[in-house]
Amino acid sequence: MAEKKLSPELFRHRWIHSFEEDSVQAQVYRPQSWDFPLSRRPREAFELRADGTAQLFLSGAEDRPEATDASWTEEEGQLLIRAVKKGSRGPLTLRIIEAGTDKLLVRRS
Amino acid sequence: MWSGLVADSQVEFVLYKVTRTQTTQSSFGADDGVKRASTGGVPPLNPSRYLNLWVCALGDGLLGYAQFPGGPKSTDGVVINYRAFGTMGTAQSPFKKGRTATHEVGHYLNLRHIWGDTEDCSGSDLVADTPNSAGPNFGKPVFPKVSCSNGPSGDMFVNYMDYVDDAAMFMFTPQQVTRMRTALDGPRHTLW
Repeated sequence: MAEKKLSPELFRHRWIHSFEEDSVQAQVYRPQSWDFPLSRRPREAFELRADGTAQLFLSGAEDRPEATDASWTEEEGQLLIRAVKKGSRGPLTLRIIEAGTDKLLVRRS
Repeated sequence: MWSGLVADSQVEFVLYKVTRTQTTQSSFGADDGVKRASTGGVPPLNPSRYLNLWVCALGDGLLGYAQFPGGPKSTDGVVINYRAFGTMGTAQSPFKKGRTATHEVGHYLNLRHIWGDTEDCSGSDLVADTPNSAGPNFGKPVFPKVSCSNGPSGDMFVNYMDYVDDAAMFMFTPQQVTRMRTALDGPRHTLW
């Protein structure tokens, strides 16, 4: 299978979980410039860097996202972000299954 | 169901002063920028003596965030989105009953989320009279929300330290009150 080129948009923004738009199939992420509704649940987010590193921002005990170091790889045209969440039993993986200019569909496992 | 576990904290704050700071920032993040003059904010006023409460525009729809006892003095206090502060004016439904301040001041007085901040049943909020819960609840849940073998009552989603809407949260437990009062007798004792 030919590799698809990763969208440069992926690296331009901090991507924020727009969980109100989630479906059973995927989570939705939007650029930080998106007008997000109020939410008591802190929105998780990620930033990708060209060198293969990333930062995840996961819900913290003080209601603000906490930065966690992560890495990303490309597999068959899809981008996979991997991190170990503090206090979690296993690694956290986000697979970007569809990337538009202002919308990402993500599978979390 | 939990009427025997409702406790009045009897913790009250008296307003000392309101200060207003003009800024060119359209909104702040959760990185404490609102607490520094160099980033368009304002530092706290004597945080050993006063609970500092910053009210500002927060990005990403965030309602607010807090700092546990024992953190840096330069950032001590709680931050609340002006759209979720108080009960009138700029406050917006479903967060216009002032519960964001209740929740954040709970953290400021050392309370943890009732699910213990893990995505399974392993976390604890370090008090024994809130049922163990797997994760946060949102909106206005329908009773019961059972997780972590906590039936028949299930998660105590009506607790101020869950993530439900303002109208759905209305209680602390006796041990949460004990934990807050312990903070006030310990690391927060200079407040009173």
